[in-house]
Amino acid sequence: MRVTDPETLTAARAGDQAALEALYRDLAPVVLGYLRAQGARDPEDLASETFVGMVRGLPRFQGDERAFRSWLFSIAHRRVLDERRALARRPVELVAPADVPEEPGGDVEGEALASIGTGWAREAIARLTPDQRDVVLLRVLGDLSLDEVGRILGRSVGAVKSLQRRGLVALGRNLDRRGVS
Amino acid sequence: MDRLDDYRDEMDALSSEEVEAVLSGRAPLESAAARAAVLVADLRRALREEPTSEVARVHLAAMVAAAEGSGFIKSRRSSVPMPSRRRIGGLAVAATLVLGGGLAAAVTQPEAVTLPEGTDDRVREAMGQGPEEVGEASAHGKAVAAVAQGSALEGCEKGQAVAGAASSKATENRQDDADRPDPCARGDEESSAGDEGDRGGDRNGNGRGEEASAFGRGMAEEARTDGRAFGQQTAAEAQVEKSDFGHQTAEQASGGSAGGGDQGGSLGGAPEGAGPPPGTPGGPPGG
Repeated sequence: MRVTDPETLTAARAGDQAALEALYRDLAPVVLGYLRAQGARDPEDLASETFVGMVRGLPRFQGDERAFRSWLFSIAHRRVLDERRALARRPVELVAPADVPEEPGGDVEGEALASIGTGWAREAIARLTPDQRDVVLLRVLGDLSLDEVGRILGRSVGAVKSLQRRGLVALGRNLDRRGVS
Repeated sequence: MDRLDDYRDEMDALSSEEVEAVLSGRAPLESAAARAAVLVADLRRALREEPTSEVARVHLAAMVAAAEGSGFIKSRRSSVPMPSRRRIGGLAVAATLVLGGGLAAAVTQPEAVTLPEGTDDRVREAMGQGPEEVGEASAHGKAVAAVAQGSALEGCEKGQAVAGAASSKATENRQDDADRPDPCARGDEESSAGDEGDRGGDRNGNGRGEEASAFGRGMAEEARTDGRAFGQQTAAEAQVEKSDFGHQTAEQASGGSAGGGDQGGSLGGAPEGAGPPPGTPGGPPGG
């Protein structure tokens, strides 16, 4: 996995636009995958809010590239929690299929193939409990340590370890049900 | 035993360190965690989602806007240092000074300005003149300048010479130039008319100047006539009074001492010819 280099991080903190773009290119795939695997309704919009929050907080950030990665995923995780709270307060309005506007095409075939190739992983993750999902995703996609995951989730290292093991076992079970070996 | 049981057994058998190795992708292929490591690696690759170019463009635009709003972003050419506000102010002042100096030089040194080709033709067209007329005008100006600078005349005469040179072209079209008197000569006449004469106020009015001259000459003639008559009258009266005084003194001297004549003579004081007439007391003996 590609790791953000210290020089790029230093330049981005100094306000270098090219360095900011490099950070985005490096971290946007895992952040966007994390948001979508967390079941966000509009993961791309949440990803935009995550990186905008990163830019605004970057002048005050202190730490190395690993701490930066943990900080960025903490922002993304807070955005997920905010959306869940907002959806809990606001009932979902059901829209009849005839009223749904037809969106312009795009790469429909490519998206379908990608969904087939990655759908099994998202489905297996979706079957985990929310706590297990948080830990597994932050560990697998975020590449964060037990301590970093514990700080983001507000849990102890022991609790994170327990959730991690049960989550991996459930993940294996889910994958086996889908015929994935 | 199915694969789920194998996976579950493997996960249960793994220690915490081995689980960490599985999650980090460092699990050795020959170990018991090899299957779990492959599953985690597949899961990691499957969950990564590369944003489309359009989504990435929107995200980056939002990031740049946020950075500009925060006021800490630099341009893509970050190797070039951005000038500070003080430096920008200094550059503005320097540019103002340079521009002002250039304008001042353009004003004080008009010959340094090079007009574009054809400007003189456009000026002639705007003035309704042809090239020959413009050349004559230039020569006329030089002639007037030569008169003004090189003439040996002074005062009114020099002014008249310069005015004459300057209006030489206008004189060609003037109808009453012959009737116009010489301003310098007119000034001399007015000066000789005396203080009593009315100088007319309007030095350009020819008729008033001539009237003033005539009036002045009349007043001077009257003054001379009156002065001559007054002098003659005064002289006659003085002679009469002195004659009476001489007679009276002679009588007093003859009625007094013998030397009264000398006294009387000295007291009389009348000029020769102005003494008592012959045959009168105190006068010379009559014939």
